[in-house]
Amino acid sequence: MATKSILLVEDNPDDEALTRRAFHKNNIANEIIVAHDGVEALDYLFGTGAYAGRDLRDLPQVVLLDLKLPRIDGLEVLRRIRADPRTQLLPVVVLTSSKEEQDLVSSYRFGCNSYVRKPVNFDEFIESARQLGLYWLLINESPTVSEARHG
Amino acid sequence: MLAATATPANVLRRSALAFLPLAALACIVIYLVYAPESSASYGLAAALAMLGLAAASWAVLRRRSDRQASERALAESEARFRALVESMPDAIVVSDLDGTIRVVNAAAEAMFGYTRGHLVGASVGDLTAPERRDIAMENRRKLIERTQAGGNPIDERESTTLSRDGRMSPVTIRQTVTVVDSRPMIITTVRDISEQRLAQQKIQELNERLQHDNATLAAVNGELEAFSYSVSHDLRTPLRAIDGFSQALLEDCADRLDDTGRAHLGRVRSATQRMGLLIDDLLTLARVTRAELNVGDVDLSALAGEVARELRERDPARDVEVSIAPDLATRGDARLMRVALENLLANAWKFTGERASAHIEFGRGGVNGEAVYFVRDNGAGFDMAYAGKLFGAFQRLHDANKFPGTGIGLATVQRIIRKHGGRIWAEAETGKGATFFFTL
Repeated sequence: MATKSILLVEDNPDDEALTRRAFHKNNIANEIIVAHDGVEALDYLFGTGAYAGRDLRDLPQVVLLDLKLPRIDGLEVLRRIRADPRTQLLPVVVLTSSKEEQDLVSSYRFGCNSYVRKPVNFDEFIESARQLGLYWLLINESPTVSEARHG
Repeated sequence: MLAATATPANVLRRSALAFLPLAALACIVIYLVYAPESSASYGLAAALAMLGLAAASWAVLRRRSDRQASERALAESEARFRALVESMPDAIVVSDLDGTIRVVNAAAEAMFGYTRGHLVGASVGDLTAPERRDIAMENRRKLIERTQAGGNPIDERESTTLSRDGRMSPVTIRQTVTVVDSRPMIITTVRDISEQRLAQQKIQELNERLQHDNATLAAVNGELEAFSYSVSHDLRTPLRAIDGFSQALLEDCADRLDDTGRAHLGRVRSATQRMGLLIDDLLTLARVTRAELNVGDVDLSALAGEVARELRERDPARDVEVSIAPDLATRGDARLMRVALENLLANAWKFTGERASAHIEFGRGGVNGEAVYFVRDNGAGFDMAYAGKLFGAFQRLHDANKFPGTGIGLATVQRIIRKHGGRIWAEAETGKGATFFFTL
């Protein structure tokens, strides 16, 4: 289980550092791969661009996806993840600042598995990270890629 | 103008009138020729002559009075016609086929600014705006041709008149070719539509302004939405960094911080979190402002019950008695009404914080047949002198240390109530609690 990575799609270096810190505080040792915009995230998942030739069987355990991203935004990343048979069952947690209704509704409509709002209060943020790690890395059972392809 | 008509009765009467004097003359001649020979014939002839003379004078008299009567009738009829024409609000111009004006009414004098004396004998072309003159004369020619060919003798169209002072006015004209005193003439009725045009123009201007305002409003709403969206995403992110790294500083550099340093960082963190709450409340206010009312059946009692349960879960140590009147059903936007009740009940919860036994009541009363809802508490209350500030955004009547808050909640409630077409007001006394009333 610990070998599985977390793909964090986050353009803000402060949030990246705080998220790493929050996971670290909760003793979550999974490798965190950071994509700084939508293009990088898709490159990683589909082995294109800087990630050409990457072994695509090595999918992350969960994708933590910010919505407001440079180049390709989070909703579009989500749409493409769901549109591709290789990633359509990949757990995606939208992790963002906004609790605007339109973001919530669109995220669920595009097929996110969870929507978590990043709190301002860091203590709450650590608690959110703890629960996220507990649920998506330990409790939740994800289908394997081969099941995704044939199922 | 009106010609006497030749009915069969008239013809007979005229013939009789001509015959009677002739009969009388014949009687006199008969007497002169035959009288000496027969006294009986004499008497008969004399009687006949007398009768004839009487009949003749009767007939002459009768003919004269008949003529007087028909002249009188004609004059009366003409006067009626004249009065009718004069009383018309539209200008009436009767002209020859070549355009020479023969008759006008008072409205025509007023419209064109000329006296009747000036108008009669002038050409209709002189009363038409120069740029319309050729078209107008051409239209008259066409109308005359059409009428002579047995077509429709009426022509209606819009035109522009020229009055004596040079003013040009939009008009509708109606022209009819008709026979007057056995001469073909054109009767033209002219109606000034300047005011109508002005009114139309005004309506159009108002419409355009309304469309412009609507577009502006839509643009402002769009901007507000974009602004809210940006605030929601971008303004909270740096706050999270300030709070998060303050906490990191407290943890990672604990050995280099004394109590003062830790206290300072504590202040930084609480201010940051307060800013976060402010942003959230402002976003709620903005959302309420731009939200469209989604009206349906709302059970306010059930909503208030849910809100009270949440308040209790969040603050289980408090002992608060909340009584909610049952079955307060109304029409409204359930989502917005929930926000309103959340704010009002949370306020009541907050301001009764120092009461050993706190009471909060939600109910409905009636004033002059209008349903008035109220949320009453026995909390800190406030001085009614400041009641006017209660519903303004960022207005606070209490010490933030004692009763924390952003001062946006009641502004949000007021906006929701107003959106429902209702009013909200409060009654309170310092230290004795407050009651918020609202209608929907």
